[in-house]
Amino acid sequence: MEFDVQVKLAVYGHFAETGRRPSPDEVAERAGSEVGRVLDAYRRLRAQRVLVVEADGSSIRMAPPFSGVPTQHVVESGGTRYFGNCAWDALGVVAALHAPGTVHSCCGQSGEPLHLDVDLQGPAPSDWLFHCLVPAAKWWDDIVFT
Amino acid sequence: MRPLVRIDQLWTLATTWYSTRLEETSRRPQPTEMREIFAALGLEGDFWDPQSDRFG
Repeated sequence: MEFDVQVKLAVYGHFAETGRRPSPDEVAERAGSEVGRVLDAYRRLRAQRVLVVEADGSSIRMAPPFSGVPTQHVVESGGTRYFGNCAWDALGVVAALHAPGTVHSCCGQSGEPLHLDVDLQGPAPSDWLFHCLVPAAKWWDDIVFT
Repeated sequence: MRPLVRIDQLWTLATTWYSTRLEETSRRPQPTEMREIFAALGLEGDFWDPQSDRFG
């Protein structure tokens, strides 16, 4: 298996199992490699828009749909708490895990708490709307803002 | 007014984008695929074009 794919799977596997971002040491151990090579792989994966890394070059900010930092988009599934980067990614966490879950968030307009049960067939019926602020061509200009 | 997406549409986007994310062969949709995915959901126009040059 190509090394970058090993690193990607190590990162995503850690997120899926724990709900939190792995350290470079954890990724290196999981991928059977060393931290320096892992950080090199992070740069390549960032170029492919698979990972977003903090300014320190080693802390994972995003492994979409998983957020490496707490956000308002919380997903609870199988006893584990995850953070999505946005509402789309919150549903994406459930989709990636192939397990039912509950999404907790809040309305961007009113601040009203929102709770949405999602099973393998999809979310419970809802009239909520996802407001996409940024055009698709600009998403990765500042993906954290998006 | 920016586009609004229904929850059922958002679920389709979420599953299309992420259902294979934990697998070895997973890859992100490419721009042409993205346009097709959006169009199938009725999300069309420059706003949903990942290669549009309309927004500066």
